[in-house]
Amino acid sequence: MAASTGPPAPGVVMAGTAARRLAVAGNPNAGKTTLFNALTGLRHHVGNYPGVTVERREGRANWEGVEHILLDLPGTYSLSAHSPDEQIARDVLLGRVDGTPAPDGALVVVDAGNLERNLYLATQILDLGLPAVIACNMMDVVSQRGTRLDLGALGRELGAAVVGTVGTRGDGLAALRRKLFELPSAAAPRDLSWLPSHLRREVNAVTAALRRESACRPEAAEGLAMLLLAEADSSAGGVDWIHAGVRAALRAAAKRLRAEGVSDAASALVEARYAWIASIVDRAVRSERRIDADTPSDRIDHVLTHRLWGLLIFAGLMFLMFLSIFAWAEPLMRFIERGQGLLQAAVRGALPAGPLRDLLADGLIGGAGSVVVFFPQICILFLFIAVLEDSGYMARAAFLMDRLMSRVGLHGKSFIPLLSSYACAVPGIMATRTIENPRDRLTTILVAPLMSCSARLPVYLTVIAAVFGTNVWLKTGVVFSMYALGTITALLLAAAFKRTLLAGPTPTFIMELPLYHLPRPWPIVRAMWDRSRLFLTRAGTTIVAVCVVLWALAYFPRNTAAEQRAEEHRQALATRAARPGIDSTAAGPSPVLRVRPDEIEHELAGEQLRQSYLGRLGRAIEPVLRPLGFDWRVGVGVLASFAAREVFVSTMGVVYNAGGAADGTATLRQRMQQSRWETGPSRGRPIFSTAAGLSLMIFYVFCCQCVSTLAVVRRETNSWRWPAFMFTYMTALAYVMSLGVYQLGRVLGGLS
Amino acid sequence: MSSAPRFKAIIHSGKMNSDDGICAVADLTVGQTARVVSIGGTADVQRRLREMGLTDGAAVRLVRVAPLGDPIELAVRGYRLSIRRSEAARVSVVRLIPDPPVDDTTATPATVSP
Repeated sequence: MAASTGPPAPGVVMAGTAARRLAVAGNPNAGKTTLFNALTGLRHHVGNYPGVTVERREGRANWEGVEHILLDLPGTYSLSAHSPDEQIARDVLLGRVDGTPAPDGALVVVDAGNLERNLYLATQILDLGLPAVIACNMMDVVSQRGTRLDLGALGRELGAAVVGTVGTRGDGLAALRRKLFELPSAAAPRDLSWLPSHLRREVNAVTAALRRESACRPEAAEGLAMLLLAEADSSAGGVDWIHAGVRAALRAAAKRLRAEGVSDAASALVEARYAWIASIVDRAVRSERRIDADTPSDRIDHVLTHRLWGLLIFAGLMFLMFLSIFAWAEPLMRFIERGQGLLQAAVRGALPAGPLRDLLADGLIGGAGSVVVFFPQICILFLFIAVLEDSGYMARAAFLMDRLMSRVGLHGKSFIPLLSSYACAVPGIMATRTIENPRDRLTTILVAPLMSCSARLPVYLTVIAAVFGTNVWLKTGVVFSMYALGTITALLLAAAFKRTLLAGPTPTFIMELPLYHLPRPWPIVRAMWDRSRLFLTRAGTTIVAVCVVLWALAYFPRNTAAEQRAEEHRQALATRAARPGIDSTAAGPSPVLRVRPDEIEHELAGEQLRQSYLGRLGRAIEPVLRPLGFDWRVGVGVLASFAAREVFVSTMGVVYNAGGAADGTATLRQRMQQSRWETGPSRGRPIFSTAAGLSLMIFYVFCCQCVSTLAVVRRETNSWRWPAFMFTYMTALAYVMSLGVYQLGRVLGGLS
Repeated sequence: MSSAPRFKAIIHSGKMNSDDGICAVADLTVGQTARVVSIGGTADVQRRLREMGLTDGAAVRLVRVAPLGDPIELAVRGYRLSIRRSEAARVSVVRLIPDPPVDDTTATPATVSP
């Protein structure tokens, strides 16, 4: 075990106590994160690299008084710049990322059961001249297969220390720590004799140019030269920071190679590297079986990707996901709501009446509550996603669904994020991180909020109750239509975005199907918590701020006349309660007495909201909303919904003097049914006609009324441009569709 | 494709069937093993496929086809790789005489030392 977190022993040279920085790299599914967690314990910092949404995970470890900062690089298959992940991994290793100093060494995690492909990345990293340790992970799988791995020979061939580990069991960790934390400060020069002579010559030429221009550490020059040569003809990524002299050397090298008949230097380099790796593996591995023989995972896949059973099991798992959200999250949500209520009551009891008390109780606690209430759902979704990822099933889900998604130009990996968005778009959008292609990822993010989330359901149900009554078949049919409408539009728009706004070369689907393994509880809980916490800390603050603003709009200006009237009523009621002899009907000429105290409060709240800035705003935009069939009261509900959609129900409750609580539903339904247009040509006719009800629900299907979603999109795309675009297109779409439906309904007459 | 000098690729037992010409990896039947001859497509796709181990001379086996007909699953270099038919159509292979199916579990070369 690592020694101690104590102070450095006296006598240790202070210059040496500056923390050493180590990069942890490896292929996806090689067990990199498990080893990283084991080495760093709980001391993590999760963030993003500047300008991109690649997760940056940093941890610390102490070894004999020397602090080590470990940086978990994104899992990649190579260092060429196919994806932002690969670009970041390469640039970090070269010390080219702002705010991330060049590492002093590297830990490369390779999957011992999949050595050839894993060594491709590992040797690319070693060629960058960093002192490095290779952790040959998952040695247990290797021995189960009856393969013998000569780690000493492997280390000699690769020119680096090799340690065998089983990350899930902690085997080999002590040896790994010793090797890693006592890495020499410089690596031995690389032996590039495996390169065929003509490639070697060009690598040397580019290396010389890199060293002349001091484009990188001198030891990294050869490795970088190979990466650059392989990228000369690439359309993707590229290195934008190399100097003109190096570019000239690259062009000259490509020209010479073409003259010798090598048109594709990239492929030639890959071929040469793999040939070298194959010769290494040949010397270090003794296998008693063909390496592509059927594995236990293949036998599991026989069922899980079966033409019939595979699809049925997949559907069942997705059903289970939603079931668990409704079965587990709802009690927790009620629990949170109750806690919020208690807290609000405590604040009201502790503080004198006034704006400060209401700001704390309704603005802040209410706003925070609207974030926290979705936390259980988000946790459960992330838990599910973490289980699917950790077990290896996530890749199978993409394998099963890719055909469907490719029809609209998306990737199989877009399926789960879109499906999760039926519960809540926030985890759905955060789950798009597994999609490597930035265009695919952005397309998925842009259409995810069109999937009807659970916050829309109460809105649909409220409107349906007011417009279509309680027929269960009709109700189900309408709700189903709304879900279908959102889904179909999402898919159509994804196809449209891929052809226009986010047009580009057809993305490829080149995906590893990793071995299955039993999901491990601790890493899953950890993955779930890391992501859920990001939602609270990053999105939460924005959401609370917007909720407070909306609260203030509904709270000010105070309606003193109404408050006074309500106070008189309260007193009259109290007086009457004190003299029970007098019958309420015999109360004489006194003002219309409310029979129940809560009705006084409901009326006061209603009057207050109607007179508030929000109420005035609702009246101001009525001309704009009238063509959709919404009067100013619905307008107030729509405006308030920008905090979160389900707020519509409580706002309508307040507007119609039915109280904001959910138990007002029956009253609310009646009041909504009775409400009439106050002005205009349809004055006196009911507001909630069939056409208006459909228009309102369709508005909620499309409109981007969710601060949480916008805050998360801002976070995931690192700019306000995309949330602004999303907000604009969704709101415009909502307006146009609702307008169409309402006007069509009016023309058809029977509906309006 | 690339006319770089060829290296002796590590391939598995199996002889070339001279009757069988070159075909796309997408045209193999499930369970069939073949050797990569060339890779087409854009430079980026080519490089990505090669980086994932589908190099000239590498042995591949078509493991299965997804339930909806696309993508397909290949065994290459001891792991499982999934690619779409559109990419698989550009990977030319030459079929190897299929090994007897029992080979997967019973073949035990003499070099073994448990």
